[in-house]
Amino acid sequence: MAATKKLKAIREKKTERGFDRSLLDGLAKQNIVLMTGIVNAPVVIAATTFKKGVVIAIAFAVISMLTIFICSFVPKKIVYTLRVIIYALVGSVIYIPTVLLLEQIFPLTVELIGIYMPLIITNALIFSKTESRFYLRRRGEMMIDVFFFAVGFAAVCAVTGALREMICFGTFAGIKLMELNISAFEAPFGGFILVGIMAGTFRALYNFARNRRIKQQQSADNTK
Amino acid sequence: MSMLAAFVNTAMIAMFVENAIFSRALGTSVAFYASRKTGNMVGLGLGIAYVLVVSSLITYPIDGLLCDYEYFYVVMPLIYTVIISIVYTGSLLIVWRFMPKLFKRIKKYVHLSVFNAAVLGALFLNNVYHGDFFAYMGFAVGISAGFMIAVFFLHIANDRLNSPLVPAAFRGMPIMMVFIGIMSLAFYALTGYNTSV
Repeated sequence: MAATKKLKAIREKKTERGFDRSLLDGLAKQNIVLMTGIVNAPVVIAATTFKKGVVIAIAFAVISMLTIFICSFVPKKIVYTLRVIIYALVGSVIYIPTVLLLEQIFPLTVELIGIYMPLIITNALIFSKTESRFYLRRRGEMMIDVFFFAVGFAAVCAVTGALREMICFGTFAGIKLMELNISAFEAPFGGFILVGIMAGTFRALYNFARNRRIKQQQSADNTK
Repeated sequence: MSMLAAFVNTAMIAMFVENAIFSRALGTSVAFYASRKTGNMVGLGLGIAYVLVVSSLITYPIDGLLCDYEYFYVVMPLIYTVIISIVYTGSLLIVWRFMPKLFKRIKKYVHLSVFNAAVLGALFLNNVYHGDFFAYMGFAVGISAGFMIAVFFLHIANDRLNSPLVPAAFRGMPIMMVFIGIMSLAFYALTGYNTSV
């Protein structure tokens, strides 16, 4: 019953052109790193260079999207407490070809990411968002929704990696840009502080843009 | 005596040097959730400790058997997930059969204490360090205790970090991340980091 209500609320958000704007929520409004903070470890610890950030983003997108798509066929008759086991197992199976393929393309980078690569299997997009959001939609819409969540994560991951690379080594994607070398920022505390500041700034900008849009809309309504 | 020393020594290292949250960011989102209420903090902390210790008892001999296999690192997540799933299902069945009241209370968030980065990440780390049996178990206990210590710190700071003194945009998760960063810096000092000057 509650799920139906949620679904109705989501579908009512459709714009005049018929495009459901809530499908873009994963990019900014519900960005899983900066807004909800449900996926942190790979960004905070492993994304210390732009290249690492990109590799994590690709792995995350492939593993999450395929797992969520395959698990959408799991019957809802099975209680969620047990259904999560299937999600975890499917994610672990998909991880095998994904990591083998990425190793062929980025051999050293995958090794450097270490334990944070397999940890993508247990991400909250698969375990939490599936039940509260993705599986309440039709399959096609669901995949678009998941795609934008993955894009939102990828953007943050790549930007964090690039920023940390510049702060730590003064380079971008291996190209020397400036004489800056604060290598301690490569440590976990650097990741936590940077992601925390990025999240706060992003929220402030998002709220500013939203409030301005509301004001503009209100003034437009008043003139009518 | 040397077994006990190995256990305690590794547990201390796992608790403070390799702290699940401050040094490894394992299970940070679960820690945010757990730090909101005392009940969550204790329940999730004990849940993670239980799953981690019992799973480690099973993964220890498997790690020993498969450590020479070339592609072990690729299938390791699948093997560990199967083990965690067996521990999870078995434990749930026991709780459901013998403690139905407890089952009702925990069934909403029990999966959070099982399928998270803290459990899986700790098993991966234990595989990397692979000491003898007592060191292996000490690491599992230490990581769990370290996770609970970190959640306790977050719980204490929770009210202040959500106070009106903090700018609205930073309230909640962003300031919590900065706080963990500062705590992480303090824990970083424990590893013996020295400035070059």
